[in-house]
Amino acid sequence: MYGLIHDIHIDDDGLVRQLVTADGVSEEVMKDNRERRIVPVEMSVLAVGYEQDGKVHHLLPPRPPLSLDVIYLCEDKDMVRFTEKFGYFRHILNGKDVPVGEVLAAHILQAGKARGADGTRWIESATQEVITLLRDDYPTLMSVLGALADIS
Amino acid sequence: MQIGSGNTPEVETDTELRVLDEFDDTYFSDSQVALQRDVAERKKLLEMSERYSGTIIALTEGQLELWGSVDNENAKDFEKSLHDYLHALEEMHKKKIIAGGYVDKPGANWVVKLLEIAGTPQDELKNVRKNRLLAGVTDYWMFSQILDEHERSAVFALQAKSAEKYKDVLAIHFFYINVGNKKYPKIARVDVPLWVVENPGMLNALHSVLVEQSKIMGNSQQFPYLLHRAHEIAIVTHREKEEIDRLLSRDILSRGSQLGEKSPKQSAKDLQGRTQLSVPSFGALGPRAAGGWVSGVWTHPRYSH
Repeated sequence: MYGLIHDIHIDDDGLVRQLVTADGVSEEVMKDNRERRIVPVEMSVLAVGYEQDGKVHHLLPPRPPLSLDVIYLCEDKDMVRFTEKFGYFRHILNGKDVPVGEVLAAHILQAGKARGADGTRWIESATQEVITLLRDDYPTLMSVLGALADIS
Repeated sequence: MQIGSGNTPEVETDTELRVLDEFDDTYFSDSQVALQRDVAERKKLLEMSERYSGTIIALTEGQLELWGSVDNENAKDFEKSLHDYLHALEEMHKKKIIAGGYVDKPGANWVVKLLEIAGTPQDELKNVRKNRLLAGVTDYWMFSQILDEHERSAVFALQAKSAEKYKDVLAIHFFYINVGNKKYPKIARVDVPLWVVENPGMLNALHSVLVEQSKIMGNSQQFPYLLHRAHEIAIVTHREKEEIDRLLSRDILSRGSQLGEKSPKQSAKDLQGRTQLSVPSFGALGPRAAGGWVSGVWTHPRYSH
């Protein structure tokens, strides 16, 4: 399954809130909290497609991830393969509670970089695709183009 | 934790799988678990201390005396456990480790009782438990009035039948310490063996570390940071226990075995949700009343909340 991480937040950690009320936090305590404590991090992932029998599909996956499935970052070659076509853009544009402009801009920038020298051309094509998909939704289009402007 | 080193503290956990068949009974009680755990903690601290040099402090939460001597359930296991525990303490003594037990918000009133005995005439001592000179006074309250910020009390020797097995350098002593301040005192009791009491350097080191560790936790909840972290790591939450039960059940069923059944009482307790009860509008409850009888609550036919 392929997805885009669109939200990372750390739940309230009572111990850390208490530690900061003390006069100074020693290096040992800081390292203990950064390296030894399980921090309650939650990540939200927007599903945008899947791969089966070597073929990439830009449809929603046939089943959700199983408990304890491993999640890992895509390598450049996987990114390039998945983003050859733009069918998965609709999942991002239709995402509920997703900062569409920011997620799309960040993704397009990352996918463009994965392509190396061919990145600029791909970014232009992707931007054109976004304009086509949002031609009837002016406010969202302006918001997305504003975010994309920051990456150009 | 190596104080002042800048190094990341080390965390070690040991898990032991015990099978119920090992025990005579079919039930492994909380007190048996606690007994095994207390002994294992001391042994683990001794083992970990091998890797370090310099001043080493081995601190556990709770009294230094192994609990279980008055618990009939544990009587059979207790002697063996106590033997292991005393051996671990003896080894700590040999290695000059500073051992201590930290009791947060102590409930025992040994010093108050000592004062009551000291203030009671010899011929009235037999009634000292009934005619208490200082009834209502607790050690906690008393030392909260006496001890200033970060001060410790004098060291007292524990005199109890249960502690008689802790002989010579293992003899249990204790002191009180204020890890808070004068305005908001936080009194704890620290149990220490005699070998720590007789060494002012060790006693002072322990005192100093307890103050520093408690300060780490900020201004409102002074408690040794390392003990809090140990508790945080060790605790198994209800949710985690349920998840483990589910994993075990799935595995047992996948191997073709059968699971025991929940009791009907427990099944009823586990039912989710509650139906909204209607408030009776008038009259007495009963099936012959005009409104009829619905799920044990009488409702008026035209009116319900």
